[in-house]
Amino acid sequence: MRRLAVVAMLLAPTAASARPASQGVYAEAGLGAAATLGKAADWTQPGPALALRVGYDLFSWFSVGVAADASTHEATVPAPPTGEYVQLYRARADARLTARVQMIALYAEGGAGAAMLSSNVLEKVGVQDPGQRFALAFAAGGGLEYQLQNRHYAVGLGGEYFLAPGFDALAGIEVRLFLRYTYGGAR
Amino acid sequence: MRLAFVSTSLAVVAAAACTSDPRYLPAPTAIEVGVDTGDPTMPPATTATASMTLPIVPETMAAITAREARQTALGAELAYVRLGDLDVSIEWTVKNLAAADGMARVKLDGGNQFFYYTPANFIVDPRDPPPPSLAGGIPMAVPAGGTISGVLREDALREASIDLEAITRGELNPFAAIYNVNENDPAVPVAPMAATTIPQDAVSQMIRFDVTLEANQHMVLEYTVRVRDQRGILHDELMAAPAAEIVTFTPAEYIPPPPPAP
Repeated sequence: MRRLAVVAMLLAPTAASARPASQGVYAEAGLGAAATLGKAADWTQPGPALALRVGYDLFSWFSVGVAADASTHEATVPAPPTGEYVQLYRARADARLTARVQMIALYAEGGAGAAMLSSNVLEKVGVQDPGQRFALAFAAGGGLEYQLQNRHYAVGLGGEYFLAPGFDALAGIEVRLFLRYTYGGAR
Repeated sequence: MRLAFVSTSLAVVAAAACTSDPRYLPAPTAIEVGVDTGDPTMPPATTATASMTLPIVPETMAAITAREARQTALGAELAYVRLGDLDVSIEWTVKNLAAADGMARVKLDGGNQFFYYTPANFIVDPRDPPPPSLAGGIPMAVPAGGTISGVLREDALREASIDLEAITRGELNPFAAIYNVNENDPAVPVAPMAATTIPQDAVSQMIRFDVTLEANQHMVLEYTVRVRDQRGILHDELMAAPAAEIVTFTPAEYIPPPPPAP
């Protein structure tokens, strides 16, 4: 019952529901964590992640953009080496669908690009081929945005699933809190 | 505000991405000692060595020109791969396969473009112990069935390169070279009696690593060479690189001059 009341409060047409949100070019920066899934989870531990996104709202409900993510993981390959870290960098072009309900917006996004591993430490376990640093990568995810009173700013919580088939089907998830700044007039 | 936000974010990512990332070169083979020969007249070996040479791409014409100009200025021949080009460390693991506790030592010797160092070559009187290795050599207890790990750090291998240059081209006594820390020395001798010296950034970098395991039980040493390539001269495919695309270094075994007659 209490949950329903909270939802009703969020959805109710209050003064905040008239809160404007900018539409146009935007940038997002997020901090969170990433973890690999499947057999790669044996070789890399979850670690902190940084995410950036720059995009353009073609419509209030659809935008395109480019995104870059970096995460760092302890490599737990059979010794030696021990205690070494590897960074996973991902960059992609993507598209985002947004459904806005007053100050809350839900979105879903997906894109394709490339992934890069900072070292060859995972070569030992077959994730990388000799000399391989890059692979094609895909990502899809979604999240929730909360529009602040300043129409340029929103905060949110997002998550995504990523897959790099060239890295022995390295897959994982990333969860992040982010801040969005949009330059432009109200939607 | 918008530009500051975006540029600051990009700067953070760029700073993280542009550091010198390590590359890991697996050992060509594990080193095993203490294997029962099955012949009572043949005791098991207590020491074994494996050698690895880094896969370095050929020197460019521009680099040759720059090196030759510096050679002329310093009055000494310079190696293609010099100190600071590569930051190398060696991570190792020793497993005791025996049912009894044992002692092990991991030693590192090796060579640069000109010479490689063999401590036994310095033994004048067979009753004397050989000089120390360039790095490592600390006795360690390994429990029965147990595993220990360690690292020959970048600073230790940098010091080893300096010592190797001083011992070989500088003809310095290995005990003096190895037991003194030279990391802050402004110059390193490359001719007898320090007649010619060169600054540290001109010292030859070790490119060959001879790793030795000494143990009194049946043990196996596995190691990985970790390299941070500051100059971009390591072949991308590392140990899988085609032989035609890497430099074949042929350092000479360093034989010290005979001691002066009494």
